[in-house]
Amino acid sequence: MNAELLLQNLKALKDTFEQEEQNLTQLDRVIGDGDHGVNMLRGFKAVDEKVSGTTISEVLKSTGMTLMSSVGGASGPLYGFSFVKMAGVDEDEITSDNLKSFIDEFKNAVATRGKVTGGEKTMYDVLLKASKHLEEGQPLTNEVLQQFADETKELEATKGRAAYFKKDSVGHIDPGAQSMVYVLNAISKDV
Amino acid sequence: MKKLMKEKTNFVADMLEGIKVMDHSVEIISDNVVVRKNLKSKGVALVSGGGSGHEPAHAGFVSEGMLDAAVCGEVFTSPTPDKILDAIKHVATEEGVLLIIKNYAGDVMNFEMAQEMAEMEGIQCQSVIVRDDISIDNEQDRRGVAGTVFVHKYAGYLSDNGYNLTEIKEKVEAFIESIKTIGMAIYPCLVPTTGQYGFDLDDEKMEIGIGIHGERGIYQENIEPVDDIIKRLMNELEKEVSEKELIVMINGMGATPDSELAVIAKYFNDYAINHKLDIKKCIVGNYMTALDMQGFSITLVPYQEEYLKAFNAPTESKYFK
Repeated sequence: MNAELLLQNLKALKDTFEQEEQNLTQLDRVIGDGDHGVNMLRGFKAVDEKVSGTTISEVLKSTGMTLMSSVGGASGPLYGFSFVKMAGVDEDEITSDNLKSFIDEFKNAVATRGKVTGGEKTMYDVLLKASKHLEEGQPLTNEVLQQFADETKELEATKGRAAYFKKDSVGHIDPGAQSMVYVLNAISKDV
Repeated sequence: MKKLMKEKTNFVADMLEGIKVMDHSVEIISDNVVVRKNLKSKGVALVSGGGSGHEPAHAGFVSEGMLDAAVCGEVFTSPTPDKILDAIKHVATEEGVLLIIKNYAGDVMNFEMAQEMAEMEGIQCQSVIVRDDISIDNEQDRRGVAGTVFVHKYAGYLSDNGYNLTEIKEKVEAFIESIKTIGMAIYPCLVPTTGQYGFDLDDEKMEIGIGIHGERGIYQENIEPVDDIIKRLMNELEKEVSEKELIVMINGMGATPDSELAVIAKYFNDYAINHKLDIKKCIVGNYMTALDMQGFSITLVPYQEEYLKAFNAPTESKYFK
């Protein structure tokens, strides 16, 4: 995937989040404060309007800065900082050979900023599993990513706002894990 | 959804324009940053903020004796680091800036990133994190709620009395350790940006241990008369606070009428007398709200002479009297 296609995929997330706003808000309402859909849509509307770049690195950095200054909440710095970090990978294209470097950079950035490990019912769980999946030589597909998000259903949250609800958080998909499916899909679907 | 508003995406911007109309001592710089017009020339500057929806917090406490700037995020959403940095740069003095952060993951991350950026630009910057909500067991995870307003006032007093940044941070952190709050709701709030209630609550139920972002409480109970609710909340608080001499805040969650706040004050006073509590000061009103949630929180601070002095010191904020 070249820079142009990546830019197109990232801008198209505006439509995805327009469609999924209600769904994400509903997920967040159960175990959070119900604004994840609104925040992600605001962020990717800004991405659609403002992001530019002719290299992979420029597109990722511009996306990161835009998310950081428009999303807010916890997802703003987590997504924003991670895209800026991914810009450091500096490849001409995202390919099946180097995709894991991007995902790992993403994963490490979320771990650092969010002070998360794994199994805590957060967006990080999807990243961790995506990285392992690539390591095993398996391709990332939308279905696989969705399955990783679905698996957060069974977890009891120990991080983020959902952690306040302890056992009551079981049985619901983490909203951050769900938005991560769309974001990772945009980065990996044309690889 | 019925709300007195124009566009959901413009809700916060419209609100801030309105605050400017209502209070001529503040101005708005750089989208959503409320600052004092009359800036401090010396003394540590204080910056706080968080999501909107907690009015009068935080913009209402931008005034002499309290905050120098409030950074207002979208409804219930932490502001972004660039806006926080704008606030820091605008109010910073040579003595530095203290950030007062409520312990919510988003607030902590965004404020810490702003602090790092400010330090890179050579501004002396420190932060404190308020964790007063005892409805969360693990002390490190406790949310920052109504007690944050006491922190604004105490830090303002220390700054006005010439303490330096290190001293203020130290004193405020010790103070934060001692503040304990718990809240409850009988009706959830209607969030303008989503058009949805924060949670569902049957007519005969109440939520105990709510946060201030419209999120559910920690458990539900059948509704009780208010004296029993006070007893329930005080039982929780007294597990943490054994002192008998106290400073108290009874905080309305936004849609609790003054009549009901007065009723709460009466039964709180009865409780204090029955339990031989010596209440040195009790403030009652809307300080840190959750939009139009109906309910209240009680905040206890073990009495110290300096705290009482700080809370009685003058401020221009009409919301802290």
